[in-house]
Amino acid sequence: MRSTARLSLACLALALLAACATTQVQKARQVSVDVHATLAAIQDAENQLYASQSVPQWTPEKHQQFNAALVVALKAGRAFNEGVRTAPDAAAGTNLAVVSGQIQQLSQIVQDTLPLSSPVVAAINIAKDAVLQVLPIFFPAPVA
Amino acid sequence: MPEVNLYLILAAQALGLFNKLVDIARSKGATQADIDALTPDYDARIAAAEAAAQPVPTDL
Repeated sequence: MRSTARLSLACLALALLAACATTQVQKARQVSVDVHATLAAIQDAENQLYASQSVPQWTPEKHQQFNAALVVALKAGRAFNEGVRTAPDAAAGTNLAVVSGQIQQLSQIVQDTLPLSSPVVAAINIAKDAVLQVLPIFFPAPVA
Repeated sequence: MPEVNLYLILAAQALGLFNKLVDIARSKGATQADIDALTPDYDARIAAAEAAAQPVPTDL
């Protein structure tokens, strides 16, 4: 009698764990899609800006500097996505932190050069918000 | 015997609820196919950004 009850509870606990793991994977997938979308928006906006030559201060040197930082962000985004494809683990959080740091660097590159109304600045701000919202999923606050 | 039945009923209810929640989350979120599709796009974007990061050749 007792063993049957314990077995039932064990099955329930296992089922709950499986359900939680599934929702975590689902969250990680959604985060990966969001991170890609924000990085793609930044790249597209900068390409359009540079091609239009509408801001004289956005020189070829700035364009190079911006893209050098963007390469690192995109590579970290790809590594994060690869982790999500296979098995989300601690490395996923590290890659996401690299993306966050690079977005900050992109923000510093455009600072004092592009107006706040620029689509590049808007895309960077959206990316910042998005990454800051999802970072806690991979770096939960320590329990006091 | 009645206590065993109670456990089983509770377990069944919990399982049903969680499966439903998982289904809702799946229907709203990204699929594995969405994730797979990102890799080639990342590759193309990285190649483009690397090319743009190269110094512009100057005419001599």
